[in-house]
Amino acid sequence: MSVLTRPAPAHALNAAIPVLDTGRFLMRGYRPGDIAAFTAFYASDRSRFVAGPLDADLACRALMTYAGHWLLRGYGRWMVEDKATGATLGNVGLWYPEGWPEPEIGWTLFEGAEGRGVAHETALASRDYAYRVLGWSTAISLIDPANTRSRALALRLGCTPDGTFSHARFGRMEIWRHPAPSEATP
Amino acid sequence: MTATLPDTLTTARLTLRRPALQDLEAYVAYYTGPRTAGVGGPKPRHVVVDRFFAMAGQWALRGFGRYVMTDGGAGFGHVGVMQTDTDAPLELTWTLWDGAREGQGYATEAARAVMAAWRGALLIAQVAPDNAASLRVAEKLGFLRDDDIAVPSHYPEGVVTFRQGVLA
Repeated sequence: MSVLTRPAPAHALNAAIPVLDTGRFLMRGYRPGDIAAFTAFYASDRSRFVAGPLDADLACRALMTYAGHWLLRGYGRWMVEDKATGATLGNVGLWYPEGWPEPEIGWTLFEGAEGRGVAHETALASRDYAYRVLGWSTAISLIDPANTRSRALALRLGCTPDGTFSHARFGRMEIWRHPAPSEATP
Repeated sequence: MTATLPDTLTTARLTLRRPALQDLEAYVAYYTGPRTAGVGGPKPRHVVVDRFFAMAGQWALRGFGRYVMTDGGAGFGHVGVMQTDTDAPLELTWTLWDGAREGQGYATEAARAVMAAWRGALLIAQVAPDNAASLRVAEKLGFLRDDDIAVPSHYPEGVVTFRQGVLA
């Protein structure tokens, strides 16, 4: 993972969101053109593990909540873009919404983006950013117990189960604890 | 269409600035309290925090958004242009978080500053039918009732819709 100099942002506030190059993918901030991908995701059954489905207005607010997280917390989740095609593949990164037990590494892939290691590569980059740039000493991921694909990824990332957590909107989730900075492979 | 509005606007009595984490608790107190019946509230804290983040995030996405009203101390309201989906109308909103600030013309003063700075398309406004104070603000700002404006499905019933009377 390398932290690039930022491209000319549409607006100065977007400068708060660094661009990461993970090799195959770009992790970047938010643009109005990303709304359609969010609307489609939240209209689909794929959003069932993240409190979906949501109508278009609420899907857009969800995107703006991710963007605002960067401005207010100083870190957040990125849009994942395929470097080869420019397609938006998902939303991955660091996430600490109200009521969470501690900041997490979260991943959401859009339709058709699974099976290529997108979440793995970008979650690793997110963890590397959290540990090396932000100085986090630990990290978790919260996973719906029925989300077997996400659980498999947590195992692949070296996470271990660390209890459960219930949230008013997201329901009961498993806490998966990431390896500490000294044990995590970048 | 993406405009970029200034970081800060000043009026005779107020400074309008972008939302910051220091404003969160005043906003939460407002939105978890009884004064939000006209805008679909009160809401649970986790929903309100997400909304506050979204209010800040719209600035990153679009280069314009809602400002926090201050007069030297803590923020006590928000005012500015909201747009969710790109096809959605540009909505001017004004809200006093603190009931003690009502009746002194703050919302009108702040909204006028935003309208003067705004160089975008026609603005709309939406007000709950029983919110007399806010209906008066819409009138003072020169907004005209327009019943043809579509309202998002999750808005409270009976919302009165307006369009800007004269482009600033």
